Amino acid sequence: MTSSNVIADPAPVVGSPAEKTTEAVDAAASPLPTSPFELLPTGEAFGVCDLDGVCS
Amino acid sequence: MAGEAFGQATDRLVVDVWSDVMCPFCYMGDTLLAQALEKFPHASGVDIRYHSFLLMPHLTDDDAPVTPTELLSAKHGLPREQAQAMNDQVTERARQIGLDYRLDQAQAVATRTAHQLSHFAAAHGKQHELVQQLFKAYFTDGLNVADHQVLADLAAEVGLDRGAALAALASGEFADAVEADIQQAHQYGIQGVPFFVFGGKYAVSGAQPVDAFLQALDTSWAETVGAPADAASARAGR
Repeated sequence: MTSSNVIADPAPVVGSPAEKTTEAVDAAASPLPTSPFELLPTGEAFGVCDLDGVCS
Repeated sequence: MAGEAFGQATDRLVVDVWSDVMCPFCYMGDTLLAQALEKFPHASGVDIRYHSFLLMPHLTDDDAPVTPTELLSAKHGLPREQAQAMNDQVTERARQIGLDYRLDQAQAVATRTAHQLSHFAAAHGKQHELVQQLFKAYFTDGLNVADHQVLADLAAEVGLDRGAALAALASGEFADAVEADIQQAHQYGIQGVPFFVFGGKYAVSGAQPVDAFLQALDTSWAETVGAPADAASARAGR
């Protein structure tokens, strides 16, 4: 594992055929765009901190 | 590195991580990802890039430090006891993976400047080391990570030039890089951190167990670096 600046020419993410995730933000309920990434299924997460500063 | 996520090199796997210095699950996520990489056979071919995210964007450099409990209580109108109980739970989760959180000593401050230092470190090949120092400074050592002198000390501890770090912070050289990261997170609908993107395609939200990170590494590695040459060429031609 190395630090971040060793990749000279990362391809733009728009070149990746990511599927829209169903677990991301509901676009109809939020002005934020839906994630362009494919959210991998995971088990029980340790937690996440949201924009309100709430960590759960 | 700001704003130019994401990456998919032909011979390396890039993991882009959005996080905030004051985010307790970001420190855990970083630690768990590191533990997964220790088990990942291709770890030497993985690069991690950290991107800025602000959990408390309303805080400014002029705000006096408060404890996370006070901040949580004030922001959400929670009784102090309830906020304390929430932080105690977080502390216990951290302890389970070997991290020593001392939130009663932590100083919640604006983190834009700390993020600028992260970008400074990235420009000098020391971002991961610096990010780890920032987390430890905030969660364990009770340091004020908005203070330029404190930040310069952290930079020096990871082998960066202390004077150059101070100059970069004073000039705001990386302020735009921080904002670009934040805007990019918004564009991609990232509403919580930590948020991990593997190979510019697969995302994992939140701090996950080691096995989950290993699975993400396996999957993304197989589809990028480990893919047959013809498939890689096809990707490059997209």
